[in-house]
Amino acid sequence: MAMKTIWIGCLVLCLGVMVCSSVAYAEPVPEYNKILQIQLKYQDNGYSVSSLEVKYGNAPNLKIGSGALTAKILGNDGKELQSFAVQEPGRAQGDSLGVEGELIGYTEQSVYGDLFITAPYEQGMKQFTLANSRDGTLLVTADITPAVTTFCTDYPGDPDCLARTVPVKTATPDTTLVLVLATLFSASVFIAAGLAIMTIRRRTAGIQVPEAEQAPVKKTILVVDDEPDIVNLVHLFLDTKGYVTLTARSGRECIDLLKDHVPDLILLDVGMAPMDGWQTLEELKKNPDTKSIPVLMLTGHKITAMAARQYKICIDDYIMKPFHLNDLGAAIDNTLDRKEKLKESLVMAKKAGVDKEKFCELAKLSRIISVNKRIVDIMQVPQAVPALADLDALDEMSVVDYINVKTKDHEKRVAQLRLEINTSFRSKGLPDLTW
Amino acid sequence: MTSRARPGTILGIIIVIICISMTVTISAVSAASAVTVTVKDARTKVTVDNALVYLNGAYIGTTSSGTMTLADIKAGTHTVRVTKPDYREVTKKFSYPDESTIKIEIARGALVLLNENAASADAINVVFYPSSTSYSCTDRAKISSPAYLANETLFREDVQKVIRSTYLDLDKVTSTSDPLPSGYEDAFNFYYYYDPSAPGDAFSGCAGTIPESYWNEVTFSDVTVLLYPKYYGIYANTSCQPTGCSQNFGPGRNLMKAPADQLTLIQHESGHAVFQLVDTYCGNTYYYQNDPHANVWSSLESCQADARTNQRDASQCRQIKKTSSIASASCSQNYWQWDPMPDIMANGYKGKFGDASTQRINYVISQVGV
Repeated sequence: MAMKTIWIGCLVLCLGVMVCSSVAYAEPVPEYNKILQIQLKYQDNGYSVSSLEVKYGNAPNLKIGSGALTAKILGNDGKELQSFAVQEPGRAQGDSLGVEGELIGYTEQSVYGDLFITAPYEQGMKQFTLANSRDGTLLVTADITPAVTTFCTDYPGDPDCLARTVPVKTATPDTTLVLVLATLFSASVFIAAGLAIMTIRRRTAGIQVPEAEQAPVKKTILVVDDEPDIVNLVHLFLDTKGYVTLTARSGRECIDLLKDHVPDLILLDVGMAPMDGWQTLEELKKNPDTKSIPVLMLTGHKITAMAARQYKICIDDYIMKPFHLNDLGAAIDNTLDRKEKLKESLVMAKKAGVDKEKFCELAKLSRIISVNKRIVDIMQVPQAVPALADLDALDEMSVVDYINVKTKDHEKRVAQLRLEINTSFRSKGLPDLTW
Repeated sequence: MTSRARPGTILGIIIVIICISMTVTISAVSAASAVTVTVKDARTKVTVDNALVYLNGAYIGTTSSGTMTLADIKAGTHTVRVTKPDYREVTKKFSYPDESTIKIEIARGALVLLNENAASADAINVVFYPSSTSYSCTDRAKISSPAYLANETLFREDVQKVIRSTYLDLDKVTSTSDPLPSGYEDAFNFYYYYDPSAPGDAFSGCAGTIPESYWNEVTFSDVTVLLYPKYYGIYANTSCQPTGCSQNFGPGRNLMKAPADQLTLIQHESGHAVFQLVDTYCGNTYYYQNDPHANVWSSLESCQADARTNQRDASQCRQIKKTSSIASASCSQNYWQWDPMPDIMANGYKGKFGDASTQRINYVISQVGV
């Protein structure tokens, strides 16, 4: 009797799982609809792209539009993916009701205005063009790829982003497939139970999810420079290194971009106008959301000791133009690697009960030592710029000597802190710090 | 008395224990690198069930008791997105392991679908938006008109009246020689957007102004109608603001304004905004040949050729002009029209869409598959 009851119980459990799976699927279906939004500025009979982004949302019906402009979206192979008519911006067509029922016209036509275009996102979108429908004159073109890359940096698990590298059969699961899987799931409960026993026996501290199961998150680097050639060169180089690149052509553009994006590292040119690299650095270090982003300064010009004294604590490395791309790559890798190791160590420090102040002091001094050494290397290169030194000390010793002395002091303190922290780590069975 | 358990009974008990153990084990393993997302209603602060949770763009599942556990999170920055029908979606970035609990508040959306059935994916999306202003042509001044902002029911009723008497009454004001297809009503999705904290202003610019938050949220609107209750006074001269206006800022930002009590004028402005019809009165307005299926042509020959192609009387083609005993009031344009008077595209109080205009309306409706 008891046996029968248990088997009936198991059967009910299995059926329950099946029904629950079906019901769960009948509930809300994931929404992956995306749009491409382009904002164009129209001024003096010319168009320029103000912004271009991919975001979640639904698009209007492009089939019903009309107008004197033709917008096209082209794919990677130059094939036309979408083509639709757009009206010229700045035209307002007003009507007033006259006394006798007639309509009285009222028009506005600006020589400037904004044109907003929202179109459904499609895989493989590459280029946007806007042309005059009458004579085919090309008015503006824009590369869509950076917007897609930015979107996929934030949403690497989105089916369309996964499809950029791994072809997927369908974006949403097939109903029949889900039901079959639900049934199989019920049947496999017993097999899973066996696996669970094995799991318990092995008593592993944690099971790592295979890398392939989670979309790899590429590191994002923001390149801020007013020289387009430098930006393009670095962009290409970072692409080959597997980084996602964001670009800004001015300090203000950088600050604006950081409102929506948090890159893993910023390459910041010093000599920009009107907002130079130091002012930009100051702005982003004021913001709690961006202050912890490592910053590598790029410069081809001499910097003042005043600026250096004021900002040296804020930077992670200092790169002279012209630079070898491999050196730039190494600096980026080192900085990101240091940040990653710091994060891992922080977790261990918490486990080991290490005093937070002590850990932060170690991290800060280690970074200063690294930057100082880099500065000394740069300064010892012929014709290099005098750099990060304390103005008060300049009269008594050379900048290099001063930095070396300060660095040695820091190294002594770091050695002491490292010893104390490693002792705490060992007492908890944790490995020593590796940085 | 002693009893001995049967082997089958023991096996059953073992299976149940295994199932329980498995659940516990999986929970323990998951907890090692898990992040808990808690979703609450922004207004009531009550936890929200069945909200869809996405991690880095991939759908994970729905909330239960307002929470969702995201397992196997790697160190680094991640993006969590939460959606739920009738709510505004929210996206939040977080850094793991710094943050292991993510609190998200979602607010009910302001967009209300008025169709009896679900919205059609291909239909023309018409969204009504309330204005907090009106205009007195007598005083030549914009006036505050908070009626809609204080009373959603009044706004909804006015919107429904406008829909019934204009868009869903199109068959009564279009030509019977080329009738609209049966079920043309399905060519439209009707919505209204009601957020008293973000009112529209029908008299800021020709077609008015709507807060940017609306355009960011409602990205799929084909036409947004900024509705205001009533225009005061009679239009006297150009120092008064226009009663209705249509202004297209691009696909997704097509705006028109109109007073709720002037249904023919709403049909006229919809003629511009939805069907791209051109004015046929003579005055200060934009003229162009709105191919295909135009209602205004740039030459007499084009008008006549189109009439013959579509089996209409070519002799009805005439120049857009107005004669007056006062010379300054006379008007003449180098454009031609075919539709007979009273034509809605020429008159704000009465009339119909003629054969040419109806042909264009049919063309637009056919584009959305009705």
